[in-house]
Amino acid sequence: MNADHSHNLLASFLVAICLSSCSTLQGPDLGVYDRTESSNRTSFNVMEGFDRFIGKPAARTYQTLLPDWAEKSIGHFFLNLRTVDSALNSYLQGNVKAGTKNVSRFLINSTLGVGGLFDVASHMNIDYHQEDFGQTLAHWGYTRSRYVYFPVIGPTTVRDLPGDLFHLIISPRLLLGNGYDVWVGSLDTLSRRSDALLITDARDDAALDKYIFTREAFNQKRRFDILNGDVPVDDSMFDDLDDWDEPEAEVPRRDRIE
Amino acid sequence: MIFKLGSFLSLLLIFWSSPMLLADEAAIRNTIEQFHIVLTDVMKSDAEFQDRYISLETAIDTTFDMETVSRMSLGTPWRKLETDARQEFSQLMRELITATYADRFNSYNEQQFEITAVTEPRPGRWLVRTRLIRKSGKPVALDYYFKDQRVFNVVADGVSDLAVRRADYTAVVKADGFQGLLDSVRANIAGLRNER
Repeated sequence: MNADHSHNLLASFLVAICLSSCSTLQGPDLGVYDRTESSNRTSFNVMEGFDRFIGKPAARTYQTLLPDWAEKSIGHFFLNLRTVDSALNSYLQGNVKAGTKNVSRFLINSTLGVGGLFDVASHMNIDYHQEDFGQTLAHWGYTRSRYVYFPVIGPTTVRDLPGDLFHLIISPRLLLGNGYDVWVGSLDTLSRRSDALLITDARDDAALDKYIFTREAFNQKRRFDILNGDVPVDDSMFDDLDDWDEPEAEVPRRDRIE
Repeated sequence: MIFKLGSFLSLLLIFWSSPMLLADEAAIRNTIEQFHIVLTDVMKSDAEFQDRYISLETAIDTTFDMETVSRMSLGTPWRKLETDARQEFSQLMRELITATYADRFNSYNEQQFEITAVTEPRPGRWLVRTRLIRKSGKPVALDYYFKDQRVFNVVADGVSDLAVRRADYTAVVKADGFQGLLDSVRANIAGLRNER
């Protein structure tokens, strides 16, 4: 692929994102923006079925067979590859400090940490700042986007999807090249699924409608990540509370639930 | 004369209310500190699920405002419930929350709790921001929302327990009715008890 062709592809990609962002900014101001719930649910159910019979058992077997140190090292290795993407997006958001920390992490862990197998940078108090292209778009004003449940990727939004694909699939390939083959990719997927077991187990214990639970939790966590954890006080929670403290409207007896 | 009297009363009010505010803040802070002590003890105890559940019951009762948790989790249908049904639902919420804590705080790996801020965004409504510091991985932000002296919502890394539960329960009530919701919550509690 020559340089001109690459530039054309990049330009098309950015135009597509801008078009999709303009069209999805028309959403309602409040509530979850899930206009395609039916197809999202279908996608969710298919992936849950796959995960139940293949993903989860494989991840549990992986956890059982591998010693903790090996699991951690594999996780560190793939996270290190994605640090480059996080660094780039930190800079794109104007966060030079986080970008520089991510670059430092990558350099230290790639060298002293033996290709990223050991997280030496964390011991030097250089924390990882996870940033992706969706967060960058949100930082620059594209805050509202349609929710989609995308096969393999999972819960995401139209805004976040290109960044997710890049972060999860393309960025490790850029550094490893052909070394990121189907086996290494499978190991990466297994490692990430294993890391998520605690969260999905907690969800499975708590959720009555798993689709709704996943969507709500995703939207809130995503907001938290976009704001880098600096989430303002949830006034709506106090508003709700005040509404509840008002005298209750009389409910006709026929409408009461006994 | 009236101005002087007004100033005097204002000063009196400030002097009188400041210690009250501090006393409230200390009480709120103490509630969370005590709750965290119980959670840490439970994690360190290495006890079975049922023993952890029993150890947590009193702490859950003194920390959480279960009626507010229940009515806000359910939303509008709460208003239509008879007293007995409300009590039944509140009791289920108490069991579910206790079982969830007993399930999640099951082993100790040098976790530490830290209070980072106590604020009163509105009169009688407090927010306690805390962090759960783990041996590995990023700390988890835990925010406790208070109504008067007790907690009605916990937000973990930006995910509001109450908001997620309300959306979840609303969908189930819509599909299966209130009785269907009760059955599903009972099944969840049984699941938490049986799988341990």
